[in-house]
Amino acid sequence: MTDKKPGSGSNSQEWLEVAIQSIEGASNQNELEALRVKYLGRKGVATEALRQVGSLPADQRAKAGAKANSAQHQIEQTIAKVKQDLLARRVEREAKDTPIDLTAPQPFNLGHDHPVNSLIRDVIQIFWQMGFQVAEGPEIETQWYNFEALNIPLDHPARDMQDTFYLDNNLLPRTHTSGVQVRYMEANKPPIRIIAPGKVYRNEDEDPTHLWMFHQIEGLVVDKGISLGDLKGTLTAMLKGLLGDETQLRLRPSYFPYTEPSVEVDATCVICKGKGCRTCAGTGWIELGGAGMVHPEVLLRVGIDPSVYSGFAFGFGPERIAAIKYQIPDIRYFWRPDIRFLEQFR
Amino acid sequence: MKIPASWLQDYLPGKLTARQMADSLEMVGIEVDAISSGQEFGDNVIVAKVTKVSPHPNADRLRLVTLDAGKQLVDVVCGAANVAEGQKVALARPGALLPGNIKIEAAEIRGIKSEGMICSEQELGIGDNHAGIMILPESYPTGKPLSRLWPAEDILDLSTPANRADVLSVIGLAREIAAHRRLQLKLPKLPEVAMSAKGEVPAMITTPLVDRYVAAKLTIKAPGVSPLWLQQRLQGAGIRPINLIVDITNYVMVEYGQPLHAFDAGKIKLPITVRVAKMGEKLTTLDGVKRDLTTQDVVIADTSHLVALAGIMGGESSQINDQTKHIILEAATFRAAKIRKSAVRLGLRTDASARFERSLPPELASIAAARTISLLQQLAGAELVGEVTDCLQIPLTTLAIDITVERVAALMGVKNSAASITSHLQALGFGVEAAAASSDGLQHLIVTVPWWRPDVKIAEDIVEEVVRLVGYDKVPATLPGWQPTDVNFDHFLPMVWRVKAALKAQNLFEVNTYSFVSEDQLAAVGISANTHLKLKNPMSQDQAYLRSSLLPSLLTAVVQNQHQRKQFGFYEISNVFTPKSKQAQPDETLKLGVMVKVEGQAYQLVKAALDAVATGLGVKPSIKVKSLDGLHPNRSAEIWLNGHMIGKIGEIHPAIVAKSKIGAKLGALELDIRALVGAAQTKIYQPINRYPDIFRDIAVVLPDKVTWSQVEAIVVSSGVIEVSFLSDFYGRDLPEDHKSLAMRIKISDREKTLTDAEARERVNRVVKLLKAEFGAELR
Repeated sequence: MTDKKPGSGSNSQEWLEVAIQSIEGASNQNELEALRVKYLGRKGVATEALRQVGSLPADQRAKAGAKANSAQHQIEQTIAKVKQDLLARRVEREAKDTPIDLTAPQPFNLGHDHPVNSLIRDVIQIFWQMGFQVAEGPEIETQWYNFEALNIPLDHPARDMQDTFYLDNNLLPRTHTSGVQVRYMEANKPPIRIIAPGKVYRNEDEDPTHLWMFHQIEGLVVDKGISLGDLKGTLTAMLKGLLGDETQLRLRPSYFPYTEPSVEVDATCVICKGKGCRTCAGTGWIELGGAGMVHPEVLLRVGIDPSVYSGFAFGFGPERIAAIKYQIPDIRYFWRPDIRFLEQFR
Repeated sequence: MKIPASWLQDYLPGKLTARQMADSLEMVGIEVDAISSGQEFGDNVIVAKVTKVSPHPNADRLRLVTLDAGKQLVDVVCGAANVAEGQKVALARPGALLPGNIKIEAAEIRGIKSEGMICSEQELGIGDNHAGIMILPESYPTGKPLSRLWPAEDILDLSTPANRADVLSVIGLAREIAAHRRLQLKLPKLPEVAMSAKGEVPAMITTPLVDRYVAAKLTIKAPGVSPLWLQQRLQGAGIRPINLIVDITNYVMVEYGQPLHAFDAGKIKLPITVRVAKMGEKLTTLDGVKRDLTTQDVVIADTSHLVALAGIMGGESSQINDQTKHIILEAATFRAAKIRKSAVRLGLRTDASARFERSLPPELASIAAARTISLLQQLAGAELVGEVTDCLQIPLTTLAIDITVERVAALMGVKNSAASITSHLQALGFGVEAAAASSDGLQHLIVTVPWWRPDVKIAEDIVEEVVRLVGYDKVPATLPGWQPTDVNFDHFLPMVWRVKAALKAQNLFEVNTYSFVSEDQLAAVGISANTHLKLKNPMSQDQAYLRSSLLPSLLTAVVQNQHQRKQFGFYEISNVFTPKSKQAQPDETLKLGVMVKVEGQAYQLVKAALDAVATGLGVKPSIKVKSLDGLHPNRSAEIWLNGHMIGKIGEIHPAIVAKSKIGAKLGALELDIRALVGAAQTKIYQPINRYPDIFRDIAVVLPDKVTWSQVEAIVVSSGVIEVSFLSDFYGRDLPEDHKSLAMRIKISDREKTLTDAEARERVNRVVKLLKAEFGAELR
């Protein structure tokens, strides 16, 4: 193929045809590269042909030059095209040789927070946005902080061994996080805005809706001129943040020794949006927790003048809300680690 | 508490449905748990007479009962102990449908055919008694459907606030409904009954735990069983009818909320003493149980023996029956706390004790006594003997509370006029008088608390009374204003959440486990229970000790989940407890615990978790290899940070793993998360090198005791900026007690691109140093 001298008349057409044929016949990128060097390289056939144009007589140069240029151009174009084709063929072959099921799941690393703890985090972030601070206190409390300071006298049923665990030294695993509120009020002057999330303990038998150890989130606001209306507005805001903007709130009269007036707080059922379903026993409402205006006696005991300041407090159980939100029929699942349960929430 | 709607209706004008009553009660703060129909059995439950009772041939505890069902004799197998010949009973015949969708069919029980079932009150849904079958009045005609004799009745099942004694009564509840609906409460007419401390029943009160003791002597002309209406009312209220006198005392208890007791006067030697029991004194109560008493119990005694456990239950010896003609009727006011304590200690919560526990006003005793005497006169032909004894131990007082219209508005968040406040309070029986204009410029009201509301003590209690009648739906939802003087940002929680994010990416799941553990759980990880705080009253020994480590609980959780996944890991962030001095509150330390189960490299997995957490926080804890209790002797270490030991890491000891029957390895990590988070560092930008980094991998053989941390320190000291661990190898073809360690050294220069020769020279420097320090040889 290389015997023909390029550049001279008819045989220049001949070598070009051969070149294009051989380029088109290249079966891989290496062959193609070799052919490119052969024709377009520094000493390549087409390069040579172009170079020879200069040695031709002046009247032939223009024509020969155009012809050589065209030959080089055609070779370049062919190489580019074959390159594309080869790539396309390779992709096609690869796809055929290495099939892949695009729908198949792939292993990944992803654990998760406990669903109740993530709910507590949500609540904290909602209250942070409303200017509340998170306060903490000991889980093993004195009777003063757990009971007396909260206007729960010595002979109150809640203090029985049947309802409360005790240690030998009469300290107790707190039955609510209210002790945190008392400690905070002792250490800080109004205005006060806190929430106190934490673990609490009750000497109670467990069943699908009761636990002997669970979380509580309590809140406390003390300032001048705090009203029941403020309690209602604050809890409404929290509920909208936590359960959705359409959530409504209802207060019902109740009794707690540490608040007066005291209320039960209901929210519109998150499942049926208030229409009535199994979760809310057809009422359209779910019980959220207790609340009320801080009892003047409680304020007095921490040195806050109830004739100047008033406040509200509330408390609810995140396990209960999580159970409703995730439609879990038995809240004991939250405290009995099961990987099959936990994996559902990641 | 169960109350038939018709009973409430007796005290209310007009006609209200049970639903209307329930709505009113809910609005004013009394929870209605259910409204049930008192009669849900169909016509297939009939009155039948027991004609014969014989033992079941194949079962000791069953009886074969033949009944006259009106038109035919029916044989039924019955398990109740109280079935006896001659009784009228409720027979559910095949096809009967009982409450709870229970269908009765003919069946063969232990080889004997049974054509139905003799029902208990509970099975019929008309009472709570399920101790035995229900015995019907003799007057009920045999064969007649019970539904014709026992009319349907709506019954409200209520939960009342713990501070309200007054609503543990039909009248108290009717008063709430009347106030909410602005109806006039209709109270029973009471006879004038003369009472004095020197009445017919001499009584000595020797304890301050009694505020009032009212006792009357009566002669009963017509004792016997109660009329049907009375029995049905009591049944509807969940109280078993016994005989006319007892039923009347129970009726008044439910009606007014005052427990009463009737003694057989013939069995009591007067005078009566009300006193504290002596240690070890014994009393057999009406339920036949002999009770050991203590000085914490209040008792009623006659001259020779104890006759009642005050406020809880009468004594068996002075029990009345349907023949008793002479009785002593008692209506007393006992102090709440003692009654409750006794009832709890003796495990004897009765309808009476439940009412005393809420503190009854002494005014109620005389009223209830008068009402009972009146009913005994009407229904049992009773005659009062002499004057009624009334020992009033405390002065009766009336509380007046000064409130202002402004205070009510401030607490509610919405203004109510003086007239509106007055009208709401008056509807509940409070007296309200407008005070003269006050110098403080506020509008004062003087509110007189009615005697039946001792729970109302302060102005805030009055506000609650107003709000619950106005309605909480009228309270506006406002957001409190806020002028903080300072803001304390929470720097801790976001860091904890950062830790959690790192653990989540390590495929770990957060768990919550109980703070209380068992001795066995502690022992499983090599911890002795002795050093732990113990509960005085644990629910069980499984949850008796306050844990000092999260690892026992995590081990339990991993063991319980071991068959679910080949490889998984849990973590928990919780307080653990270590005792200080005897009286002081224990130290509470917030710990992060991690445990992984894996068939291969367990230590490496928990170390990865630690490294991920530490890297996320920008801290660099050091690992001090040390054999620790409960952990693998060669795979345990202390975690140190800034000169403090903050935790431990390792593999759970193989012996423990074997004991837990786990066919895998367990990696464990526990550290003080506050110490870790407290050391968190802000990341400082390191300029990115403009010249290319060169990486060189080398492997050296060195003694196997030399740790990576030591090697890393030496390599870095040579001026190398970064060296990373590739692998180590403890193979047989190495010299004894040696290992091969492969590492990747990053060589870079901020001034120029390094040549191959320069790079080689720096690597050689590292090798030389390692040889000098550890005798390491290049492989």
